[in-house]
Amino acid sequence: MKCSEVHKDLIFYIEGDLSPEREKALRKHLDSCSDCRAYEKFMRQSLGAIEMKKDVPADDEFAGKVLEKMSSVPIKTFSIAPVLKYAAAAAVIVLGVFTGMGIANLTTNTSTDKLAEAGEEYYYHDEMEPIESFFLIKYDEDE
Amino acid sequence: MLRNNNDTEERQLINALVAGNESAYRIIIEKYRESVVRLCMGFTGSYDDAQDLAQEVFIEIFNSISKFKRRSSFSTWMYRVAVNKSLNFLRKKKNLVSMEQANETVTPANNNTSAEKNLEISDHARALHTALDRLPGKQRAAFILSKYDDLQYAEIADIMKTSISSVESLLFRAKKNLQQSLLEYYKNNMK
Repeated sequence: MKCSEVHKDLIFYIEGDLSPEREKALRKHLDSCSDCRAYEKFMRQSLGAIEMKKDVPADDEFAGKVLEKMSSVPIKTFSIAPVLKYAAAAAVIVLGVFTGMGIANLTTNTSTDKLAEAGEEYYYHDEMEPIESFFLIKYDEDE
Repeated sequence: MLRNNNDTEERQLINALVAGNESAYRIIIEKYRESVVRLCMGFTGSYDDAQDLAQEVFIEIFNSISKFKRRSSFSTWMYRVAVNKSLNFLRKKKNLVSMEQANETVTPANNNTSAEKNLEISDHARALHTALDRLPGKQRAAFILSKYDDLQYAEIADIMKTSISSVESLLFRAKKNLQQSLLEYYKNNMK
């Protein structure tokens, strides 16, 4: 095995992700190459920094700080306004349709069955957008 | 049975959060503070920044709790908020650094402050954070969730709304890129 191959596979060796054969070959190279051993030591210590950072010290004031910040920032609360907006729009549409149908009944002889055949009865039965989709936050990734 | 009890407890706790119950806020913070701070450590590399960011994460969670539709577990949703908030933090920080770099000739004192601060950080932690900083967002998130919070691939897949095989692929690429960055750092600074 060459040093360049060690550079390519070392992290997987440290993580235990290599096949037994590959692992054996890499270990053999490390035994005979001091440069790669020094690099291995650096890699182990760098990745080891994760373990050190995982140790989160106790912080009795943390919750207090969060609640204090929350009280100083206006809280975004559930608002009924969007619901009312869509309800009002639906009411206007329904009112408009009924008014239109009333006028149509006065001026034409079109039967309700014929209107249904033309698909008009579905006009005001259209499914509204589900309310939750107005409030849904999408936590998408950015890669 | 135990799971049912836990589910009921969690449901009650979420209901209390939605109702704005302060005790519920404190219970959630107590339960998840370490996990969130650890995750934030992975993103920021500094304990002080991680503390500030974790506080912001909890505020976001409490303010957005009405948007939690219970389609996933609370912790999955919480991690999603935390990852999102952390990636936003990094974006803002990057913009700030770019602005500071642009002003470097005007305010050279910034350089000294930064150099002094860097001296406090160990070489290995700095090398790791430099390498993590160069990872694309998704690779970084998958790596941090796996290594800092010790989450299983299935949990990471849920949080990132992707498949387990995608998580495996993200982690493989993250390790490859980290290795490349660490090798460069080693050759430039340690040899």
